[in-house]
Order: sequence, then structure tokens, then C-alpha cells
Amino acid sequence: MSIVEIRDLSFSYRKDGEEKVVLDKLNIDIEDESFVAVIGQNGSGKSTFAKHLNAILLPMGGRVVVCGINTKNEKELFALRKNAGMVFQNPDNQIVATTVEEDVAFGLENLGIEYEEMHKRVKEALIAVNMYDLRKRAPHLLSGGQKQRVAIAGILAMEPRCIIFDEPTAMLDPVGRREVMDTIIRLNKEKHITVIMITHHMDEVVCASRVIVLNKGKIEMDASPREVFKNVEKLKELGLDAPQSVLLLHALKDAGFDVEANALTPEECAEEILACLKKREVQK
Amino acid sequence: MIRDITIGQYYSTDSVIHRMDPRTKILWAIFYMVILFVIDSAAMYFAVLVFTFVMVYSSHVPFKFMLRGLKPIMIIVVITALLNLFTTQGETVLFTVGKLNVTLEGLVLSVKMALRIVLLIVGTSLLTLTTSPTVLSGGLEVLLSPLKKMGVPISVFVMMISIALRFIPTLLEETDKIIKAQTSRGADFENGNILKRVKAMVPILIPLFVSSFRRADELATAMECRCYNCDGERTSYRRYRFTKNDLYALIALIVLCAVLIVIKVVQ
Ligand SMILES: Nc1ncnc2c1ncn2[C@@H]1O[C@H](COP(=O)(O)OP(=O)(O)OP(=O)(O)O)[C@@H](O)[C@H]1O
Ligand SMILES: [Mg+2]
Repeated sequence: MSIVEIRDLSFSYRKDGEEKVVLDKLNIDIEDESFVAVIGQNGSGKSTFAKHLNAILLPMGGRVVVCGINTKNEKELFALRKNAGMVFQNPDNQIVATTVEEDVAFGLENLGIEYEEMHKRVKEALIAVNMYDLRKRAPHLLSGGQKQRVAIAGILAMEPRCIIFDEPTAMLDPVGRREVMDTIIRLNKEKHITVIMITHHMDEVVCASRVIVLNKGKIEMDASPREVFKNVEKLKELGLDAPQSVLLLHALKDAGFDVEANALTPEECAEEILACLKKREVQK
Repeated sequence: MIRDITIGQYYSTDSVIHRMDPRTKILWAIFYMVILFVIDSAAMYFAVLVFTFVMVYSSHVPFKFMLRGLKPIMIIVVITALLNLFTTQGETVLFTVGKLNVTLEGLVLSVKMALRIVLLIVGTSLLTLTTSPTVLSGGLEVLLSPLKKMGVPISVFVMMISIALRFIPTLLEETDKIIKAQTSRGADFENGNILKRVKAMVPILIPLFVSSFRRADELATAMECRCYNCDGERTSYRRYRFTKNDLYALIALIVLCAVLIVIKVVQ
């Protein structure tokens, strides 16, 4: 069953009297419980696409149906946003309250959840992102990764079916990135929440089961990470990169080594190189 | 100097007063202010003084901390005292300075006024020192909630206050960063006359404003994503409950009033 159904989605901005097309007749279906990465150059329309998924922006053409709710249906707006949460790039600008636990409760307060239920859910959400011990902290005393996990907990407490992440690790250091990525992967695997993640880090794309490549508001590629990264030339044309392990294997292949350039993770890459070296030993 | 002002600051520790319900404390502070303006005799002042002393003691806020907070106010206290001292007309002239007579009545009045201001500051800062800003605004919301029926958007005001409180440290941090960035580009904030220094502030304020607007925009979107609706009925994560402590505070207040009435009657 698909949780997101997009038909002929078009969107444009009007600037200086000129019409600038940002999204051009997109058609996308996203499976329930899947992990989808969205990549593309700066200005390719990724954030605009994301904002259509929970009715921050409304389509100019076509329609967007998320969790069975058309985003144009104003009566179901809160039901839609409860089910499709969104986490943004800058953790500082999405934390509302003066303590961690109160911030996680913010969405629940808005939904009118009762006192006992609210405390239960806040606790569960904080435990799920490993922030329960710091629940009394003021947000400005947290690290970037911790703040971002608080933001995730705030969405998680609303018990969404799907969470959209717009470059959630872009402002974090490597440790914070790891923490946040681990949390996202766990939510997908253990809580069965559909994840749609926009990112510029190709190493993070590897975690997804499907990659959508946007270019100038159109879908350029839509396949598994392995398929997408086979085509390094095309990615380069689109101004995109590939994971380092893929690039390394491609370079080795070009230099005449007998390797298959379809490893994604550093582990797979190491195995591939090892296998190649062994073959050489045997030949000698 | 700015750091010395303790009014509005929160002193985080645990005490009977910290644990009291914010509503009790707010009502209490209002009552206290009224009392300060009603009392007139020395005995009454003494009673309130003792009472305030006991409150400060049981709040576990160090006296030193309290006194430091009084420092910036001292100028006002001294000026008020001097004005009262020299301008009050009276019968028993103590001594004359130039053309001004210092009377006994003037002396008494100036001491009273000084004491009144000091007590006012101590009493009200005790409220903010023992109540975290969020709890305080939450308590205010509950107390003012009858006004909601008249169409006053209390929840929106409280939300604005709490967001402002949330972003003060963030913006201070950012200001610091901008100052460092501009200094490294050769901006000079320390030298020159006042006009020059004010002008030097412009390259700090403009980036700060621009980034604040961007923050506000992003925050609004994030709040919308979490179903915020300013007209909607919201529930609250905190629950305010009257406890034994509140009862004691109320009893203390009644005792204070009783003592004051007795003094008044006896006189
Ligand atoms: N409010 C706006 N007004 C006018 N044009 C806009 C507005 N917001 C975005 N655009 C334009 O729409 C295009 C797509 O923007 P979008 O933010 O979706 O890109 P993106 O893929 O998220 O880029 P990035 O990787 O930088 O986040 C850009 O060319 C941008 O200039
Ligand atoms: Mg973007």
C-alpha cells in the first residue's frame, strides 16, 4: 500500500513577473514503511517537494494524497500533519519550549491530548531518541545532534506514520550526524515509520531502500541506491556525488583493476578490493 | 552592571518557596505590594520586615545574591530618600542646610520611603527568583484565563513570552558570534565617542535582525507542522496543583495581615 500518492504535481514561483517552474508534473508513489532518500542539486526543488507532503505548500497543479488525505482538504489538515511529521535542517529554529520535555509535549498540547497520555507519550518519545536523561535541560545547552533528536522526539510523540526529514544532518558535526542517522534508521526499522529524507550526504543515501533524484523539478532517476550509484557519470552530470567507496572502486576500475563498482558501504568496498587482490595472487 | 540586576532572574535551587504553586506566588506578590502601600507605622514596618526576612531565608536564595540585586536600585532609593528629606514640611526642625530645613517628619518619611522601595524590590524579585519563567508564564495564563472569555488572547501572549524567553540565549550567542566576526574584519566597538560607538553597532544589528526574521519564519513553519493553532483549545503538559506548601503560604499571609491589623488597632 502506498502512503504517499503524488499525481502530476506542479508548482512555480512568480518572480519579477517571470514564472519559475520549481516542480514539473511529478508522479511519485511511496510504499508504507519504506525509507526513501531524495537527492538533487541546490535549487532542484527538494524542499519545495517536501513542503507539499504536509500541506505547508499546496499544489498549483495535480494532487498530493498522504495517508489517504488530500492535502487540499482543509478539514483534515491537523490529521494530515499529525500523520506526516516534518524535521528541518536547523535544530535551533524548530524547538519552541524552554525545556526538552516541554518541547516534546508541544505538538501533543496542540492536539489536545490528555495529561496522563501526554506524559506517557513524551517519556516514550524521549526514550526512543535516547534523550530521556536530559529531559529537564534547556535547549540552548544541548549539542546540535541532541537538539535534532529532541526535534525528532517532538514529532515522534505525535505518533506519525511518516516523517519527512529536510537535510536533518546538514548543520551537525560527524558525531551528531551519526546519532541522528542511527535514530532515523531505528525509527524506520523498529517503529515501522515511513522515512522520506532529503540529503546532500551520499553516505546517508546508502541507508535508504530507494533513491529519488530530482533535477530542475523533474525526476531524473528513481531506483535502489545500488542502481543509482552504478551511474556515476550521470550523477556527475547532475552535479551530484557518489559515496566515497563507489568513487574509489570506479577509480580502480578505470585504472585497469578487475573490480565490480557496485559496493555501497566501506565494508563492501573493502571486500571487493580484497577479492581483487586475491585473484591477482592466484594469477601470479 | 547588567549582570547585577537580579529582577527577573531565576535562582535555581530547591526550597519550600520554589515548590509552591506559581498562582499562589503571584497572588502573594500582589498582596504583598498592596500591604507595602497600606502600612504606615514603625511597628507595621517592622512586622513586614521580619516577615520578608523569613521568606528570603526560607527561599534558600543567598542574602548576598539578593543584596547584589539591590545595588543598581540604590541610586533610586538614595535620590528618593534625599528628596523626601529636604522637601518635607514639618514642625520640628532638626537642622538647616542653606535654605533647606531638615525636619523630623522629613527624616521619618524618607526612611519609610527607602524601606518601602527596598522591600518592594526584594519581595517581587523573590517571585521571579524562585519561579522559572515558563512556570511563571504558565501560572499567569491560568490566573488570567477568565479574560479569555472576554476575547483577550491570553494563550497567544503567553506563547509569545515563552518563545521570547526560549530565544534569548540563542540570540545572545548569535550576537556574540556576529561581534567576533565583525571584529575580525576590523570593526572597532571600543574606541571613539558615543556617536561613533553607536554607529559601530549597526553592522551588528542588521545581520541580527535579518537572521531573526529568518528564524521566526522557520519557527512558524515548524510550529505549523506540529499542529499549532493559536485559536485552538490546547491542553497543558504542566498541571498546577495546590499543595500543603500553598496552604502554609496562605496561612502565613493571613497571619501577617492579622498582625498588621492588631498593630493598627492597638495604636
Ligand atoms: N519563497 C520563494 N520565492 C521564490 N522562489 C523560491 C522561493 N523558495 C524557493 N524558491 C526557488 O525555488 C527553487 C527550488 O527551491 P528549493 O528550496 O525547493 O530547492 P532545494 O532543492 O531544497 O535546494 P537546497 O538543496 O539548496 O535546499 C529555487 O530555485 C529557489 O530559488
Ligand atoms: Mg532545501
